[in-house]
Amino acid sequence: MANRLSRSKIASYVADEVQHGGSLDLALQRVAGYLVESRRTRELTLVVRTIEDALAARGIVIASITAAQALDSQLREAIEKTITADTLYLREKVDPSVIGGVLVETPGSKLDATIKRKLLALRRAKI
Amino acid sequence: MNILTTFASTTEAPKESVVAALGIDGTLLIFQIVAFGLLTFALGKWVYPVFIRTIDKRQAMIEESTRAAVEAEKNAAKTQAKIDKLLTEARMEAREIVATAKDEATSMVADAETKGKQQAEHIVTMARESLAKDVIAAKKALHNETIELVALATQKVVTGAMTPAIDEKVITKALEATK
Repeated sequence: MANRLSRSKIASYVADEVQHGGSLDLALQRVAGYLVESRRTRELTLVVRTIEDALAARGIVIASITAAQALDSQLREAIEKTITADTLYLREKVDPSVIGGVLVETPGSKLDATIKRKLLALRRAKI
Repeated sequence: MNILTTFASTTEAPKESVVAALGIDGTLLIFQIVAFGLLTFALGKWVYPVFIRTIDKRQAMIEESTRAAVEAEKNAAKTQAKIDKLLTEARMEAREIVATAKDEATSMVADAETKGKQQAEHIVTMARESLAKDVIAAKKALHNETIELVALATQKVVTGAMTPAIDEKVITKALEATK
């Protein structure tokens, strides 16, 4: 049975691999294999988040962008300018339920400028 | 018959005594006087005392009865006076009782009125509070419903009106706001 590694150690391993020019896909495959072998697949989301945090600490930011329609290059650039990072990876998602605007999520911060959130804020004004 | 005989003999012999002329027999007279005396004595000795005792007794009884009657009358008068006094006292007591009852009834009516007023005021206050709560609840419900309607309407309008150009403007504005 493999030794149980903490999520931060796993994240540090992946971040180190990426930082030193290693393959991100390979590192992630190894992590996935380890999680399956150690029966910790339920921690996957947490592990991914920890890896993103570790990467962000090293200046490599993975940002999730959610919008109602696909972003054009101009908008994408504008969004990239708002995020401070040495290396930035964008993970785009089209979700019509947000109606309009954009949701930008980075490790440690979140910018929710969607129409859906504004409507939700309006509904939260209920007594 | 004897008298007639005596009268006839008198008319036939006018020389006899006056007693004889009157037709009185001396012996018979004496005998009758003695018999009368004996009778009187016997009556006075044995019969009259019995009657007198009876009469005395009766008289005593009558006097006793009279005294008793007088006494009874006096007692009756006294009793009547007592009854009158008792009646007077009873009437006074009854008047007092009636007066007290009236006072108590008045007091009870006043108390009942006061309690009724207090209860009515309490009910009115409760009703007002309940009404106020209902109004506040209705206002809240209206407010929430309005917000929900506004949100729904906005969602519908915005969803229908949202074009890529407008979306771009919204995103640009949001990004500018973060700077």
